[in-house]
Amino acid sequence: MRKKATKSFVLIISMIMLSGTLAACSGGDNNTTEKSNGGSNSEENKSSNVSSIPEETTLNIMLWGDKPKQFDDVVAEFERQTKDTLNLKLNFTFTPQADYVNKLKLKLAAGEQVDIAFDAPWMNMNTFIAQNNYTNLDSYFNNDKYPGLKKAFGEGYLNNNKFTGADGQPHTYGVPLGQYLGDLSAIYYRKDLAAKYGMSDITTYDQLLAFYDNVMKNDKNMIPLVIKNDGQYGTVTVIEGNKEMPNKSAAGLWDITLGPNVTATAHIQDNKVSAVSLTGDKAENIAAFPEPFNKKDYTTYQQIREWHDKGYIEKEPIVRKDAKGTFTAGKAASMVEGLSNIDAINAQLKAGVPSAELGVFVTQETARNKVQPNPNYVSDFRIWNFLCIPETSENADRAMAFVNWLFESQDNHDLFELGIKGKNWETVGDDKFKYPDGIDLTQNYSFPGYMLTWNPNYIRLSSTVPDHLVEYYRYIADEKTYIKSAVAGFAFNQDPVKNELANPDFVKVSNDELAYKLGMVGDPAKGMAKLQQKWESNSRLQQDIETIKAELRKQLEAYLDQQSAG
Amino acid sequence: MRAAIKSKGLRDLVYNRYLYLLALPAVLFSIVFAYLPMIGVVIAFQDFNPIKGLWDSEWIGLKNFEFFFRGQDWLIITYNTVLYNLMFIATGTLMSLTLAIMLTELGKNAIVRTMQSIMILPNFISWPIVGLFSVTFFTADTGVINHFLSSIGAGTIDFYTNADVWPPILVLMNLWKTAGFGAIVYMAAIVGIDKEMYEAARIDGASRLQSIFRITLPMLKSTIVMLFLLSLGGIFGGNLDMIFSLVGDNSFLASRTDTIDTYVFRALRTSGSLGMTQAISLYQSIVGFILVVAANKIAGKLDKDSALF
Repeated sequence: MRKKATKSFVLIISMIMLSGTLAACSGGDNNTTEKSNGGSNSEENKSSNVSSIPEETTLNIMLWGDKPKQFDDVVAEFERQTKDTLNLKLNFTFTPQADYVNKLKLKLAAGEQVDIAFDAPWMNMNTFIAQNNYTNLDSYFNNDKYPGLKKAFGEGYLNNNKFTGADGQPHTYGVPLGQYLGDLSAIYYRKDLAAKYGMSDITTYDQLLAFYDNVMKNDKNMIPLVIKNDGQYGTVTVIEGNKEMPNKSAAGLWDITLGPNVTATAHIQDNKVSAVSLTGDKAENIAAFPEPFNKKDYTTYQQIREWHDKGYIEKEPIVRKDAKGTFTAGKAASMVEGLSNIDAINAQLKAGVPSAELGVFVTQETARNKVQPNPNYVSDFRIWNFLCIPETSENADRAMAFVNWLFESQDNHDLFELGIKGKNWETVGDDKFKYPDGIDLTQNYSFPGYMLTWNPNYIRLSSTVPDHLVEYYRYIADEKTYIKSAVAGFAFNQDPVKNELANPDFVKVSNDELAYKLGMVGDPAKGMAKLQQKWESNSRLQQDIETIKAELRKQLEAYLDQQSAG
Repeated sequence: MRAAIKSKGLRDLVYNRYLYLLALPAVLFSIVFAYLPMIGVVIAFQDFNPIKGLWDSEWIGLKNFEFFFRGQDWLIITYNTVLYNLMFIATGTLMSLTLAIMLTELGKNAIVRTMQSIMILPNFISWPIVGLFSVTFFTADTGVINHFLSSIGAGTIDFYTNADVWPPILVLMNLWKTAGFGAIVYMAAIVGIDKEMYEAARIDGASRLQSIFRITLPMLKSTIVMLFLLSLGGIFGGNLDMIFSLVGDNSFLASRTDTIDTYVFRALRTSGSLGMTQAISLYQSIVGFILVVAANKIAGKLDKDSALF
């Protein structure tokens, strides 16, 4: 009797624990059945009549960063508006930037449906195209079934943004997202402080330096120029943008990004590659470059160090993780960022320091004077960011229908870029917008458009952008501002030298140099010479560099031959 | 029928089948969540393509492993990793033991309990947050420590350009964060020691220190060895969250602070090759596994009761 009781007790307990253990798995199972249902739905769609309302389908869209405030409201508004036409449900997944690529890969590996993914050549896109993982989108563009795409993406624009597929031919593998070919770097400064020191608005470089001196003198606890620990938007742009720089493109030198930390410079003469140099390369390998590019030049680093000594920048910018936050909290007198962020910065500064006035000074002298073409603006006329459709997506047609809708009209586009009209923003004229009075900007919808909506045909500027800056927007929107790179259209296939490119010392090279960009090393010329020596004595690295260069030369020459033949 | 089962273990299994049933969920749990995922190890030997999946990706042998040894610094980095972990294990064990003994000797009252809670609190603060706080302590411009040093007239220390100060800092930070929590394990073991032994010792005239060194520590020996063996398994792990939060991409400090994890993370964070990442963690696990098995053998040779298995 007693044994029996124990037996059943044991059985019950193990059953309970067992069900607990397997609960997680069954959750996953449910998911897949749902997904495969979604898949079969779309199959039916294809066969059913196009003109009738399609079956309801959920699109899984992967973007990066944080989910914007009020985003669900916008998606609900979209679903309400298109219930009778597209009949789509949108399931957006936002992933922190550091995890994004891995999460995308894991989702695909696990067989989860991803219908639209944000990707870019500086991220994962080239690899995935080489592996044939992204859908060839050629048939959707210039197709009357997708009028929105036809309207928003012209032939030339598409041709500039094609990638070489596994078949060796150029194809469209992503919906190009961009407004301008370049970003206008701007120094954001505290106009109210300038006024306090008796200065007018900053219009020249000398005035900028005088402003920094005044900050040092009058506000000892204020950082004159706050720079971020990765060196982006830092002192290099400010200093090089305001001194006489030799013209690289006129000398026939073109930069090519080969991988996340590897950049090549190729000297091209008469459609032939005469010399190539790479990140971490030996100094002797640039000797064949035309003057003055045949010698290493460390004067910029020396000037940065001078700024460090004067106190214009922090002693240890390497710990400054959030430069924008420091500026908008009122702890710094200026910072560098793209002009496109003016609204966000203005709003955050006003929230942090209510009495502050934001001033904008265009960083580079050539841009300030609207020089055309601008030698600093070498472009391959390729957009930076794309929307891709993984090969495994069963809803490619529906996904492109959504993208088509997005670019069909200004109103559709604005819904995702700016939010709900009247609630999140109001129109001003045809091509401007403003935020409704009394709205809390920190809680308002604010979407990073480069991930989904940016397009040169649908630009809407904030009405708060001062008139003299609107001219700069026109300036960077003008194709004449840019110098077309001789290697525009060339896309390096990393596959043959993948292992060489993965040499961890490439990261070390850029990381070693970072300290100089931040002005943290005493004698930059001496230090860099020592670093150069260290890289040159790294025989494994040099060997890999030579292999990569040989491959690049081969691919580049094949491309140039093809160009001149065509 | 029963005589047919020759193996003793199997006979035991059949005889006590209902009791063994209790282990079934745990066994299944390990199979599902620890052993099945191990199939993923194959991507260390593949040019992994997520869409082709585990079985159809191209096999490339040991190419993924080469990546780590391509760099110039892999020896320094391995050395740093092992050194930090040994220091962490040694100082951590010592500190946790001391704290545990001190607290139990104090008896049980409100103050001791409060102290105990305060001690384990740092364990729940994540490294990125500690990293943010540490900046306010260490920076040259506004750091608390340098402020203090200059106010008493001593020279300042440039923490973020001087690599040599970081090993002790990391060891101290690790102690601050983990020692209190580790002490709890030892306190539990001390509570388990037979109180009669202490009473008998006291009657025989043993002092407090003598009780600690002659009774408490010897009784804790197997616990100490067990925890040591368990931590050996992670000796090739690189404390990524700790070091990256505190140091980041600072190349001045890399020579003394770079470990396998931070090095690999930095090299792969943008390209993100799953195969190479998997190869490195496989390498770390295998070395860890060998160390645990070897150390266990040695521990068993020296003292039978201390071995884990």
